[in-house]
Amino acid sequence: MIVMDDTSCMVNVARFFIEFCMTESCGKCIPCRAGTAQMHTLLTRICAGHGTMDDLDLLVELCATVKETSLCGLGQTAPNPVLSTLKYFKHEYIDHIVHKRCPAGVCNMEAPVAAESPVEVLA
Amino acid sequence: MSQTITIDPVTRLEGHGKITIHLNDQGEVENANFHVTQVRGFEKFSEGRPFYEMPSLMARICGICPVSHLIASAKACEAIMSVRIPHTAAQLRRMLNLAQMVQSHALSFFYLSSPDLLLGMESDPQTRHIFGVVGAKPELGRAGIALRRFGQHIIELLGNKRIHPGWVVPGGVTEPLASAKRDEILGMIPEAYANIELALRWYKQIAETFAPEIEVFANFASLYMGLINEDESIEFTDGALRLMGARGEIVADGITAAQFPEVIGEAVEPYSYTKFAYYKPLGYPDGSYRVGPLARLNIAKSMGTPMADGELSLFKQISDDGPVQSSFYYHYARLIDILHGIEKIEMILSDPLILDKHVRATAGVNRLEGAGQAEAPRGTLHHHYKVDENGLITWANLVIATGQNNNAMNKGVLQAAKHYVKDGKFTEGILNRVEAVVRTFDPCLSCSTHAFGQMPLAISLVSAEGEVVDRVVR
Amino acid sequence: MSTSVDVKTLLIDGQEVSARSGQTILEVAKENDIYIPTLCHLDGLSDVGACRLCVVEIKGNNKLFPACVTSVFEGMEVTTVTERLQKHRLTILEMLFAERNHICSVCVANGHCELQTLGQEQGLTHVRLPYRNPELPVDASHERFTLDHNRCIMCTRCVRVCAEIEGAHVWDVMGRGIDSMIISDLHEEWGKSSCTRCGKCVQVCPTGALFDKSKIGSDHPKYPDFLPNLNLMREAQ
Repeated sequence: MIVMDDTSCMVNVARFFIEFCMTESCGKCIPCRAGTAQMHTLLTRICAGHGTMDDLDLLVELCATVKETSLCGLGQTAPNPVLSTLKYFKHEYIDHIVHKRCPAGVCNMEAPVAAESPVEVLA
Repeated sequence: MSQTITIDPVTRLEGHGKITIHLNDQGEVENANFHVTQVRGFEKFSEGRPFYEMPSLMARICGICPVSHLIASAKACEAIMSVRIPHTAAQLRRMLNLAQMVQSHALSFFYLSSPDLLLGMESDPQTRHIFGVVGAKPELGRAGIALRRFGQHIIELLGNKRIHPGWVVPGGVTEPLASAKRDEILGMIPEAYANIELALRWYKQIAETFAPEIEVFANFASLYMGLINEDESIEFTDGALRLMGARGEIVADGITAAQFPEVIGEAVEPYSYTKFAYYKPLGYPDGSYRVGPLARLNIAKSMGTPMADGELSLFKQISDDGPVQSSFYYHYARLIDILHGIEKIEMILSDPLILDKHVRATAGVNRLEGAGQAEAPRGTLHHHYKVDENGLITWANLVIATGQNNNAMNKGVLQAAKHYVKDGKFTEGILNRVEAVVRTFDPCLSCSTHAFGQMPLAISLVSAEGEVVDRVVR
Repeated sequence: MSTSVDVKTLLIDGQEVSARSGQTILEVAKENDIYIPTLCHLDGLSDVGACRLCVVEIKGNNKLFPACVTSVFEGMEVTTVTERLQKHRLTILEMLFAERNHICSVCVANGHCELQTLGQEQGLTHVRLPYRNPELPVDASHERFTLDHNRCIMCTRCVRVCAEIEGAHVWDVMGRGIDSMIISDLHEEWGKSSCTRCGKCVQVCPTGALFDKSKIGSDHPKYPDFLPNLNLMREAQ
């Protein structure tokens, strides 16, 4: 149990914890090594206002795989912050994705996302 | 009011391009440009890769002429390795390159251009495609499809794969030719002869009716460049480059791949992603030249094969003095190339060493720089790499045929547009002629994605203020 | 081998099988021709349970267990194929394909790659995860072989074969998490390392990360089957 007030952005909090797990991951098993990095990418994307509802579904799937198949306790518990913020504060995720708005005013919605590759469609 | 006509995309080309025609206040054509609108980045992302991987990487540039890239790339790698490949490997590669030339020319002539030639420049765009050709003159359509299959099947037999065969490697090829495969290819040759003879006969019947087009389809003096053997016969895979002037004089000769960068420069224009190659001593744009079938036939003294030699002497009669100038004759030259290709493949297969098992030389990095050149169906192709001590690519440059024809294509588009577009008025048939000029060059717009059938064509008339005045969509 | 063999009987996918005490689920499954997908496991090497593709369900426990490092017990009921397992296996494969730069069409291992085969076999039709496209080096300093980090999946088979079988322990892992990488010696160039040039690592590498330079353009099948035979011969000595 962690107590926070409304000046904390739940998506950003989840991102913070995942970032911690990502850097702490030893890299031995795939779900923890690649899964936490993928979750971090998705959460960063959402925080920057570039997320989609598909990303949210993907995030949930990643959480399940990382939680259930990781080798040690680090990976098995890594998705917990994401899962509990999603459980209790899903509206904050939706605010970021649909309304491009951070209710706590923490996330900078203008931040560019490197992982996104622009697809140019020839007119 | 000045206007711009945009043809985007240009249809029946390999890759994506567009044409803009700029009209002045009097409605006369002031300028016309052919734009290649895609950037690929192959030179950049090959950096850091092992050089021996380059042929297979570079082949991915194009699905139509991967073999040319494979061969030019492998030759550049062999320069880095400092090896001469075994005779049999050289012959097998030569055959592969010719097979690809046959299939690519068949695609260009029959699939992309014969609809204009058979059905007419003004015919209904709804049926102006290969199926229209098959409907109107089935034997011609069938001949084209069969010739394409002939080339593709040889590539598949030799390289185990029709597109991007991994068989060509630095040092030679990965496996020798099996006698069963040789016999299979030999068995396909009589039918190929019959098909190309049919096409040549038909072309000669219709060529005269296109006299007005011949007059304005990129019909101007220019330099010509292509590979040639020491005995001045045509060459596609080895040999050295010759540059011929507008009056048939030899401007430069014996240019090896290593000398190429000293002789040929590349200019950049803001409207296209393709560079503009030019002969350095004459500068840009005066040193612009043409490559491809027309250039090769202008340069060569002989084809080195009997039937193609007969056709070459007829071709040379088109122009009384010096090289054949009109790009319309690319079509004829292409058919002669195909005939030569079939003859030469037959000759190579009778080489007593063709089934020899020694087909690959091995070596490490023995030079930090290497260049290779070959004739792609549409003209000279040049690959140039630099590597580090471990053989990882640090720099790469490719000069593709389309870049070398770029200036001629632009000039040709302008010439045709000036002739046909009058008082700012144009019809679909007129714009098709402008496109057809580009088609004669069979440019490969450094692209491997191809639309099947007819791409949508939108022509916009844009005022000087950028306002769309008129728009025709088919 | 001891004379008294402690026999366990268990169910794998409903099939009644018997096993020796101390055997892993994977070993028993293999003996009984029951297929469990694996990637880091290789017969003849120690198991690390790193790829997590061999996870199975055991009745009475909600957790998933890696078959390669889970020992059998009497009365065990193992299920190797369930919707839940398939979903995880697919996601793990997706993670691998998105992690580094796997481009099959120009890869020397195309057609002989265990990752590619697993993708096809498990029905991986597309990757939904964002590609990470990391910029990774290629070590071509070795006379005969090349290491392309872009194609490495960190299964550590090369590390294990070099340490356990060849006894040279040239390969090891550097860094942690997503940044971890295979290195030779203390991060020397492979060509300058203490490598014995035996080529075992190339043969056990499941992808095109380790390859023979002379095989470029040709088929490059790997032959890891030498391992169990080699071990058998060594035991006999």
